[in-house]
Amino acid sequence: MPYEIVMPQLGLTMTEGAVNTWLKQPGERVEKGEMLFSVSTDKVDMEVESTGTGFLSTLVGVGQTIPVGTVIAVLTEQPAESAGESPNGSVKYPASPRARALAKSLGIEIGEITPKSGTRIVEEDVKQYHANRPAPTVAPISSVKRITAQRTAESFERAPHFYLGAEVNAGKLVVLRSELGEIAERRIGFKPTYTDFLLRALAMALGEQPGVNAYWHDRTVQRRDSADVGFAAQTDTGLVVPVIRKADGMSLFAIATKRRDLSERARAGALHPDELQGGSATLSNLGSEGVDWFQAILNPPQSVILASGSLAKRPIVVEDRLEAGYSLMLTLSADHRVLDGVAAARFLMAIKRTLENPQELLL
Amino acid sequence: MTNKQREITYGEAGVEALREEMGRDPSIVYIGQGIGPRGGNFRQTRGLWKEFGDGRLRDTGICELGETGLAIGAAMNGCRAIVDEVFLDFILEAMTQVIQQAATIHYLSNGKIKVPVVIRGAMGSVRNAGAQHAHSFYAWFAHTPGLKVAVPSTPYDCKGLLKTALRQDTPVMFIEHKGLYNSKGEVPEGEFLVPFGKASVRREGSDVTIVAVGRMVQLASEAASALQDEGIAAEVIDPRTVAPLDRDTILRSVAKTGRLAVVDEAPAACGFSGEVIALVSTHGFDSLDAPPRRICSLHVPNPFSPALENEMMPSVTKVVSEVREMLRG
Repeated sequence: MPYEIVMPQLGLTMTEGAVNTWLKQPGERVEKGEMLFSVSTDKVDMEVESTGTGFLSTLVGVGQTIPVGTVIAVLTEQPAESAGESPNGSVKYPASPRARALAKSLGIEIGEITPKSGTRIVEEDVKQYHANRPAPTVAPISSVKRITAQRTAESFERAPHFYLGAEVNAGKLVVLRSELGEIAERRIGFKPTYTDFLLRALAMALGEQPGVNAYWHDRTVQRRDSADVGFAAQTDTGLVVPVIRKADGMSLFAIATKRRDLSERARAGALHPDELQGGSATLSNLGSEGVDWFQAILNPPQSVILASGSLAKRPIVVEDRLEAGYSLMLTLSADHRVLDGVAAARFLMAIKRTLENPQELLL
Repeated sequence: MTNKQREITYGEAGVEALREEMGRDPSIVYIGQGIGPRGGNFRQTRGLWKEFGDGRLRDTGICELGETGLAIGAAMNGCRAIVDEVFLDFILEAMTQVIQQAATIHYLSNGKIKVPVVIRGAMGSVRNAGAQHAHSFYAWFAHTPGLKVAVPSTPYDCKGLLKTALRQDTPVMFIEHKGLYNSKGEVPEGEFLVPFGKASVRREGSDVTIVAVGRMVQLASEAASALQDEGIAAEVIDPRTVAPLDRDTILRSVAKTGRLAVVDEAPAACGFSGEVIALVSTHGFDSLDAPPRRICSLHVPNPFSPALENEMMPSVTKVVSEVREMLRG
């Protein structure tokens, strides 16, 4: 049993006192009758002998005013490792369960705290310590970022990803976009972006290959009856994926108009939660950021995501010659529980073919 | 005077509960010593014999075993019976009936036999009546499966809990405190019930939770007032029934205050105070900011000497000084 040393009453009127000096070190063995500490009262200073025998631990700090009868040190039978000196040289104190729970929730190491009075760390000590801590440097995280973190981690752990890449000859696409510019300005008020062409190509491929428009659920493959395409959009609070419903039945201009409306409202934070739900496949386009190609993480429960790199001039083989021409790098990520390599390859090739023969995108 | 403002004594509140319930339910019979024409040693049946007659209130000889057995037998056979031990101390003569029959028959008969009996008695120390008239062993009954235990601390609860007790189909120990019979408090006229297993927060506070039953509630409240003057806000919780015990209210309170003291007129060893502390230590461990304390009577039979008995009992001074020490950490 640990033996408790208390603040002695050194006279009839003494109600409290302070330890002046500890005459023994923490962990040192103390015999009953040996001088252990000196005490200051309002009247005298005097040395006090130990009332018990054991190894000294959990001392109160020097100079603290302590009521008579309060425990100021503990003598243990063994030189306990948990008591006495902690690695940084300070004395460790026991803590109340409430103080421990609070410290844990605030991310505070309980061993760093010294009690204001007595020998036990209590809730008030933790609150004081917390109040005096410098503000944490960690930036607060938005709920959108938190959701992205959770969903991408879950997707990457659960869905077995595999990746297929293809370089698209984008020469005709560049020409077509340029030719359509004037008509588009007149009809919808702006020139469609490459993202709009890619979304149209993705939607068409989904409509033609319903096996891809499916997802893994409870050990089965579930088919969707609507080809809805989402696109990754960066906002101030984080990444969102607005969804264009039944996109396989929409014209290029209709898709462009919808995409623009969703993008603007995404940046303004004015999307309805329904517009962020579901989707058959996602397009993530980092081309405008200068990335040549990249691999995207699936957006569950979707089983494909298309990553588009920059559309740029690159060396292109024409017959036996090298020519400078426009190309676009596409990488498809697929969920192997739903798609095998060949099915995913056919899907990617369908997209490549329409982008290389872009008149199809207008049909 | 409106009903709300009407004040009557704890003893009168019990009589009122009996009058209302006996009037409502003709199957209720009352058995005990001096509870007929005399109206009860503590006036706890005053006026009822005149009103309901010998067929409903029956005096017995000095034979606790017989009268308790009689009441339990009646309860097993279609009556709703109250047996009054008057001084709870003398229930010891009848313990085998209480534990082996009343508390157990429902189980032994596979639920076929119900025992709607209320076993009534007054506990506690009052006016230095000596060791044999001052026991507070209400916790023994809470220790026994099959018994409910009500321990009212106010006239309001005395009426409301006794009426609830008389509507149970299981045996209920209804344990009053001798020292409270003349205490006054607001009691509405007519029908109201106080549910079992629902504690009352007698006083709200944020620094320490004091749990007490019976007369100790009054003492804890006085201590809380004295502590308030020192800037310590004590919350006083009166469980009102010890079985069933309102665990949630106690745990919620300690989650708020971080400190627990139990005041009990019974000794600490293996008692109600230990039960409450075990509850909080197990289910509210992370709430505790200080070791729980119990302020109980000392582990000796109640002395006849007033000076000695006052010393062995919990007091306002003792509660104040123990709580003050807890707060000092």
